[in-house]
Amino acid sequence: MLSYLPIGIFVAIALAIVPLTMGLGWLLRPKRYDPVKLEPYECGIEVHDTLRGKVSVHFYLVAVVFLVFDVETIFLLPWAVAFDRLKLFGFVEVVVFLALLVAAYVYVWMKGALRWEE
Amino acid sequence: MPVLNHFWHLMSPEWVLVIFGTLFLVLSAVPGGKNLRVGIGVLAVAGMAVALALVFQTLTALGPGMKVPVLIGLNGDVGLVVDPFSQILKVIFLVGGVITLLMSFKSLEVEKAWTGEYFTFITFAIFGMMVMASGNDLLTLWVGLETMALSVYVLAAYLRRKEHSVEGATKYFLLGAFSSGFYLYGASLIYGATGSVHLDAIRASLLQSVEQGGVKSIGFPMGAGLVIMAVALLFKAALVPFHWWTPDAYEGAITPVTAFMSVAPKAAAFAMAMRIFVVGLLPVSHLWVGLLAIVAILSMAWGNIAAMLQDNVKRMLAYSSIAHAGYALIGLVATGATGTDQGVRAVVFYLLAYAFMNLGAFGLVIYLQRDGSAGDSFEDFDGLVRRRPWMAALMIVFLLSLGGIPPTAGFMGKLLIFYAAVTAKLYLLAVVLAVTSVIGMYYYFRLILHMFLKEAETPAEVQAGRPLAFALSLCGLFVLAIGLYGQPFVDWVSRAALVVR
Repeated sequence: MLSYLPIGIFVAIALAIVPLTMGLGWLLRPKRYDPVKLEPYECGIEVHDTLRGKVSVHFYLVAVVFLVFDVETIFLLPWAVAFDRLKLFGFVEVVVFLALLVAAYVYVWMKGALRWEE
Repeated sequence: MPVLNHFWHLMSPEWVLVIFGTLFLVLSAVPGGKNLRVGIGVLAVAGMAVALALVFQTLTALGPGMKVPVLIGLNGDVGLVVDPFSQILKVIFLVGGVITLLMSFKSLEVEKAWTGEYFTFITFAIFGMMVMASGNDLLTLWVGLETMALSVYVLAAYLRRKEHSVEGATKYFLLGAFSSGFYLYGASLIYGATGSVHLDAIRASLLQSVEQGGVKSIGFPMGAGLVIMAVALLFKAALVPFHWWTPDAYEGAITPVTAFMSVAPKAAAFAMAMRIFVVGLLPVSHLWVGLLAIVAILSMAWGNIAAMLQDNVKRMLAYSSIAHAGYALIGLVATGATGTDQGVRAVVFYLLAYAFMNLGAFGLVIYLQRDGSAGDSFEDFDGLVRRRPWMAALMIVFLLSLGGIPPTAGFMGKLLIFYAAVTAKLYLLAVVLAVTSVIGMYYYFRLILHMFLKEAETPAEVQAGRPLAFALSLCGLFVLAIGLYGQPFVDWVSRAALVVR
């Protein structure tokens, strides 16, 4: 049971930290109220429009395509690390993988997902 | 250190599907009319036929009890195996796929929803299922599961302009994503308990603990991991209490996809569950036999009772598919109780018989589909016996088979399951199987009554078209063949073996 003591102390400190910092901040900070405090950003460019504007669905499509290709190419890194041990098999696998990626890219391209006009 | 041994050609069916699927993907982006899309469909049937031939070829090359590792990692772990069990299940997936494609032509024509992506996703889904049948470690199996699931999510939402379709697919997707997380969490706990994700190593580790410390030495993480992982597998096989997505997803999807979902992914989930539970977790069968037995009883009872209350044929067949999954699960429980392959064989045989009869029953719904109606209300079947006697006869064969009446495939399947349960001394399960089958008869006969006794007020003009007629005849032929002369099929399925000695 005693071996769990560090975890107990850890949990106690973790629970105490939030009320402690918030309470200290409340005690120490100067209290000056101003309409600017209710703005999303207190400094920088002034907000000129509502937050709920419409965004073209095209951004979403591009983001998804970017994400997919970005994540997929990360698979090349482990292959590069183990290249000397995987030998020809690893190389062939990566070529197959890239061929599938290219096929997907061709599909996305021909479907017009990368075209911005219209 | 070999990575891929010289048996890699045993993977040729999978390669064929990947190549065809990628080709369809690129072709479906090519601007072109309907003819091109129909051409992709014909090519998809051809590709699956080629894969089917290759699976048969590897199956004959495999001796009894042979298990060939085809993908070996750098540390010597086997990722994929090819054995008669996996190949027989691949035959079920591919036959289901071919029949689905043949039945799709009419539905896509009526809905005016021809795309190449439809065929791409069916091809990739079947590829994922084949990995699920062959996978030999928890992660490879998971990759197969996800490949299948992501494709089927898209297929379920195929009619994306229809609210029903999107609603069902959204439910399926959200719950399916959760269940995937469950699977991984359970797998990680099992990894923590046994030190491996590799089924043979998990088995060896469990055997060692049981030998050294007895059954009591199996710790809590192992049991928790097993239960959590079972949730995900039972979800994919649509068993009570993880079945809530099934009726909505089945009703909303375009009917050939419904037929496909009720047969192939369910069989794949069973394949994966059997592989994990029998190859990896048989030493701790005391942890899962009772659990799965309860799920089987709940599925048989609730599936049949809820099916009685439905007023839509697709929903009724959805609940009936839950009940049938419950019947099949008895086989897995029997294997857990006895440690013999008899139960596994009964499940595989049941999945084979179920594929033909359920695809056929959904095929009749597709037959009645017309512009503006999915053909899935009971009234659509009114007076079918007089309007289209042959089609009605086929539907009666499928419904009798689903009800488990001889001389049909469904009867043979239930007989084997029943026999496995009695051999394993699972008398309660056997009794529930018999009683709920009788309850199930009620709603199948309700549909038959509609065909015989009611008269359609304004009979709708429906056409079958050659591919659908061929697919339906094929299903009917096999349902009767398995029912009348089942011995060759039983012998063929009895090559499947999973229990490691």
